[in-house]
Amino acid sequence: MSAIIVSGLVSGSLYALMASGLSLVWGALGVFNFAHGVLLMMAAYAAWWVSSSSGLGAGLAAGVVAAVVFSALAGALLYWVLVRPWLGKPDAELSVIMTTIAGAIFLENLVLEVFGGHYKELDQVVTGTVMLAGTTVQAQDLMAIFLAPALLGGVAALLTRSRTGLAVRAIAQNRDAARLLGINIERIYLVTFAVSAVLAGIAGITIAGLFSISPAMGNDPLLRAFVVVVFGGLGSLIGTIAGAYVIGMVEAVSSYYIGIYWTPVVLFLVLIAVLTVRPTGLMGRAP
Amino acid sequence: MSLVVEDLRAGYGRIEVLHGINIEVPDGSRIGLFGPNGHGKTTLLRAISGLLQLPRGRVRFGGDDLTGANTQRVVECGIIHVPQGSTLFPRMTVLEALTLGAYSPHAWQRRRDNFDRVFTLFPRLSERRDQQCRTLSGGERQMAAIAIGLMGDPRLLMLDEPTLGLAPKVRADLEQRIQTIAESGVSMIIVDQDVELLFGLCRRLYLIEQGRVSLEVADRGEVQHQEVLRRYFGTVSA
Repeated sequence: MSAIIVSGLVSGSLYALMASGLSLVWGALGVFNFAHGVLLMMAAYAAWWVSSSSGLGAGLAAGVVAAVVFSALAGALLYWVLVRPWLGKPDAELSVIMTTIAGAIFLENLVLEVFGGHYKELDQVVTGTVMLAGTTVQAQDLMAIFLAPALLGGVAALLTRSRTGLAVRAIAQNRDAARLLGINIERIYLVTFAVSAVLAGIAGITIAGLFSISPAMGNDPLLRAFVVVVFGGLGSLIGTIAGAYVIGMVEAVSSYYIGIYWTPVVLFLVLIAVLTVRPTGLMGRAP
Repeated sequence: MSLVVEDLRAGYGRIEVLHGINIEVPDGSRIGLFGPNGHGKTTLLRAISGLLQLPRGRVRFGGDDLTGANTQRVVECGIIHVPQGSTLFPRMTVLEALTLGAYSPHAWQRRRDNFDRVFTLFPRLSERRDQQCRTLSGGERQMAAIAIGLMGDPRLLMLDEPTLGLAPKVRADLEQRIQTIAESGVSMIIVDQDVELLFGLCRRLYLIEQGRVSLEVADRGEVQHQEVLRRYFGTVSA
């Protein structure tokens, strides 16, 4: 039983990290970033390349730091190349879906070309096991469980207290009024993308330690993150985080009792049920 | 710092809305804009504050040429536009929204002073500071909108229909507060449908019709008052 809970919490934490970045970008810019999963994957490769003896061999700590910095830069660059040129144009939402999907396919294949198809392994940030409520838990799992709430709490604090965080929310609520306060919308968009990419990157480094690294490793988390964002309610960060843990738990329970192959079916059934009762998601607002 | 707008032409995309506007706001004074809906009053404010692409003509504020400047530069020069529709940030607390009002660098440094000033002017907002903006009453929302503008430390404040949809008593109260702000030396452009209100607050009125200034009223002599009402409403009822 506690094994199921731990597994649900780990998935929930990872989904929360992934989905909140997606949700932030959606809230501020009104677009979906389909290259979000690729950001996760590239951060894992960056960490591996810097830390592994097959790469720079600079050690895990350097790898993690490099991957986080890389994520921020990659997020900013992605915004600049794939998103910014289409903002403010008619049907920007659709154009950005196309450009980010195209970018994702390109980058995934680029990584495949450069690093090859063999799965890579990243050392765990914390190693060993811990006994918890009668279950043996990997320390890395435990780290994920504590890291996600801490990071997301930090993001939430920035959004309510910092000048830039308030500006992100202002843009999401009333773009013209935000501009009239002297807010540089472009800069805030860039920062939002960078923060979102860092959250995805940290999820990527954690997943890399728990499972393995491959060019397609971001696809599944991206799909889950979309389910979470819709489930939790578009534009609500709290809803997204709550949704991530609910989905993580449902998945863990269903994998245990029903089996891993039927879990996606269960997941979508839950999603459909919730959207039938609450069309805007758990905490979404009517548009 | 006086604002001078010369032959300003601007619009949305290929549609020109303003066909050459000339107005002037001398330092420390107030002007009022009125006229039928859809004839360019709001567009004029948006053109001055940098929300419209590629305006032509000239906008000068003191020594700065602000023609075609972006909103950041306009705000940093001290021109603050309080837009119409008073719920600016529905899902923020009053305090958060006011803090945001001081976003531009020079206002950010002076935000403590400006908080005092705003809460003295609008004690009601001080009571409501932890409430979400969407839960405020109509009058309070309008106060909040103006207060957010004041947090930007304006030299010129542009108010777009500040009394729209307010009950007469609330409106009179708000007029009083606007008067107080004006007495502190802030220049103002006020757009409103209520000509009486504008006559009370402003030294000079402009009637904006079809994207042009069709009448300028320099003093509030009764003759011109009659003229304004005639042009505005068609007839003067006895």
